[in-house]
Amino acid sequence: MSILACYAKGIRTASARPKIILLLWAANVLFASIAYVLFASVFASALGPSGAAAGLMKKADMNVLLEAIVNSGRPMGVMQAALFAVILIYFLVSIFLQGGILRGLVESSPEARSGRVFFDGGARYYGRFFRLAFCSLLLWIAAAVVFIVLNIALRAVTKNSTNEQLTFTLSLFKIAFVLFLVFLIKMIMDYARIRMVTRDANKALPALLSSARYVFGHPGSTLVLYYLLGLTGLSILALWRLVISPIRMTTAAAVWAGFFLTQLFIASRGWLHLAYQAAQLVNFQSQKTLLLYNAVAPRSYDPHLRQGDSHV
Amino acid sequence: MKRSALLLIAGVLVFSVSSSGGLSRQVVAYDLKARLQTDTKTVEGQEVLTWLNESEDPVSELQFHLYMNAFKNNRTTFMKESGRTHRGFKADEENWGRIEVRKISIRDGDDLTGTMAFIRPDDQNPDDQTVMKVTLPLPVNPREKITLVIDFATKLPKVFARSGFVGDFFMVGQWFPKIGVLKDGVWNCHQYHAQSEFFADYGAFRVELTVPARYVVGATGKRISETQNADGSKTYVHVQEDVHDFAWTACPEFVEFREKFSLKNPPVETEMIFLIHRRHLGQKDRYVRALRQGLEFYSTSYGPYPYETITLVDPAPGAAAAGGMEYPTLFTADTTSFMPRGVRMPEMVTIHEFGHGYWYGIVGSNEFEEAWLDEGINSYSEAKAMDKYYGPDGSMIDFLGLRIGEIPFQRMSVIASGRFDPIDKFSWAYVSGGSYSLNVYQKASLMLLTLERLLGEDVMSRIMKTYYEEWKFRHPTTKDFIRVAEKVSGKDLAWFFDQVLYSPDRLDYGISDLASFEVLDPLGMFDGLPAKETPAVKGAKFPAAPKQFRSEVVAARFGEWIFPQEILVVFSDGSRVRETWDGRDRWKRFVYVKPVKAVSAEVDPDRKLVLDANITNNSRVIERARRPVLKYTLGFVGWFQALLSLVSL
Repeated sequence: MSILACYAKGIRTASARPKIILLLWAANVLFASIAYVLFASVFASALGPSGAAAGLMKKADMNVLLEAIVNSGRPMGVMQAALFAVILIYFLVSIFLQGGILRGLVESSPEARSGRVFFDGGARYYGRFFRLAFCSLLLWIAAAVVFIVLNIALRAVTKNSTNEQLTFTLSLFKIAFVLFLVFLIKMIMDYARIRMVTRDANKALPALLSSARYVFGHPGSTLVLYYLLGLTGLSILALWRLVISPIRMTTAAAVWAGFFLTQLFIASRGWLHLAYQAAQLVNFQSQKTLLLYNAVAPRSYDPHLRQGDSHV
Repeated sequence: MKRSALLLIAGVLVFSVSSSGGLSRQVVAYDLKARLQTDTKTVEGQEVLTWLNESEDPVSELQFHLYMNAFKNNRTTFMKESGRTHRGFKADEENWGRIEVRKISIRDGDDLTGTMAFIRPDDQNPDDQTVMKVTLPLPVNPREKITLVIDFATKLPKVFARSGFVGDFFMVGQWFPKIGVLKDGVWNCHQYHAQSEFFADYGAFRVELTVPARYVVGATGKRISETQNADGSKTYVHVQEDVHDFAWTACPEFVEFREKFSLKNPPVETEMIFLIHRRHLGQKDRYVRALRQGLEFYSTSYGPYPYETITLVDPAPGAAAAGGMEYPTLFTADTTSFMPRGVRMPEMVTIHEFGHGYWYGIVGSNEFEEAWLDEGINSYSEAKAMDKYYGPDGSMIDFLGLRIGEIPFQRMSVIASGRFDPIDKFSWAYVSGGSYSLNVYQKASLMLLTLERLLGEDVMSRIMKTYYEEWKFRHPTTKDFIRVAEKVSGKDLAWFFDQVLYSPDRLDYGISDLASFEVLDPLGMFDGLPAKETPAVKGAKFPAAPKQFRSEVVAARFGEWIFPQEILVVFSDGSRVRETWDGRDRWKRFVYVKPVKAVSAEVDPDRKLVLDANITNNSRVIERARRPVLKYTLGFVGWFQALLSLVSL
């Protein structure tokens, strides 16, 4: 199947699963509501009784805002720690959501879209995906080493350099390279999860290594598909900014309107997440099917059949 | 000995005191010849210095600054204090700097080289050689002058603190033996510290600079000649009177632009010289505009710019450590090839460093001992100029929707700071570089902005103009500034300056409580008075009396400084009451019984006290402003949600 076909299939599949999108959005909102309480209490204590806050609806008075932040050092510190904890817990919950999403996508039965399948998948793959996240530290460490080596090399080039353009360009290159590494690892993780679900594999490390081999073995299709979806995400981001930027947040109605538009954007992130999984699943399956067809014979896929950790 | 005395007398010329027709008393006259050796990064120089003894006592010892020796090794006072890092730039241990005095003698007289000795008046650091003394065979009598001939060589360091080289860019400042200032019969000649700048007497400079011909040169003062030499070098001659230092720069990558600047009122005619590195030509229009703004603002605010030239030097890429530094009639700016227009660093640095031409250059306060007099006054001037030309809301940053003005930026430094040092202190005696910086720059600037709001802009303008006029080309102290401020304003300002200049404490007033409640009809038993009983019939009411509300406002002093306060109380019918409070006690309660409730109270309602460390506690309202809290909370929540979605992707 061509990359565009995989992409289109992914988009179609994601668009046909509004319940999962709603669930992803709800999970996001649930955790964000903790942040809301934290932000609100810090802002309320810093600004609430002050008359200086009144003018903030009309104008972002940096005098007031920055001073509120500077003078709220301790609450800010507590808030930062709490937010970090929220992010960590959300990360753990997102492992569960990954399992549910993939189970729903690979399930061919009529019940595939039921909550039972989703939550069953979340529970069923949680341990494996958690181990996978742990094993992925290997990739993150490898990426860090690559980046450090690159950084040392580039520093040698730019040391004593009087060429600002070169320094600036290399800085941009470093940022782009870091992003590339991050996305590459995330992509390998995606395929590792897909492999674990489609093959019902238990062992995380072999799945991770096989996926890495798979990605490096099919760099064109995997990267193009990933960045095509990334481009879709950027387009949505640009659209959201285009819509929200002209809104002057000077009235409560405008503030709420901005908030609801933001929620649409957050929901679109869930949709994109789903599209990523679906498109990559299709890509993975089509590549594997092709290999199997060429190597042995076509065979049908049964997700309930445990196949051990065999690798093609 | 007799021969020496005769030669000394021959060398000492009787000097008729007063200026030589210039704007300042010419205490020194330097005639310098310098040759730049670009391969060894060295300046070979000869200095003919004529110095006038303005004191009432004979002087038998001369002291000199040898600033470049601060970069001689890792144990100099500068290096120890700075940790070999200055404003984020690290010293290069492969390129030390130094100045070597090879010979010093009285012109046509004694060789004084043997009497040279390094002294450490500030810290007794045996490894510091930034101050040198020489002993004269015979003293220089009051109102007499002496001429010395000094041969020296200056090895430039790789630039990390103002002076030095990077590649083929050279910024040559503090490069020659510079005589100290004899003040009240005592030498004021401090060592070079990490947190100090400079101090010297006014005089005249004539400098011959010889560099390879391909180099573009800029220097203090006016160029009077330019000669191509047979050896492929070029010699430039610059002269300038009424300055106390001389700096120069050379780089083959400079592109030179010259533009005239004219102003009718006050009359100013000067030539702006821009030496812009080839890679920064895209920033030229920003520099030109900012320098024009600086010339206009300082000339109209304080006095006409008096020199014939002003040179802006754009340091080469990689030489930012040379940027943002002032010298007489020349300063270094700072930018990068990719500086967004809304980040106004080039404009701010240009206006600030040009401004030092006034506060340091023309009004020559002692930067070692009272740095606020130049940095603080100049930061105040810069903030006003930036606000005038770029608007108060976004004068520092106006980029991607983020707008920050210069005054809020200055306030942030002061608010976030510890309270270790006062504003007025020897520069090297602050607890840290950060404390030095926030006190002499930001806090001093905020002090003057507060004073301006307390006295009125017109009075402050007259204070600054008078201070400038009375002390131009002289060496004022803090006491002189206070004297001028009190004289012009007609007020005793000791209460203000004693706290703000000499105490590390802070100013913070606010409203600690605001309450408003209904005054109830008397109920119950009152001795000696007929008891008011509840109506016999349930549900019946006493005749309705007009409702009264008792409103209480408690103004409080949270900080240590005592400032008189104004308090504005607003009632629900829109009526307002302005109160005054001497601010001495820790708190004061104001009580009102009125038919309407108080809805808000605010100290310093006109925001005169820019120094106040926390303006969010300045006011209180009965009805909390929930919408702004909601607005910013939802805004932050939106960003947090986006972050969560990235975590899970």
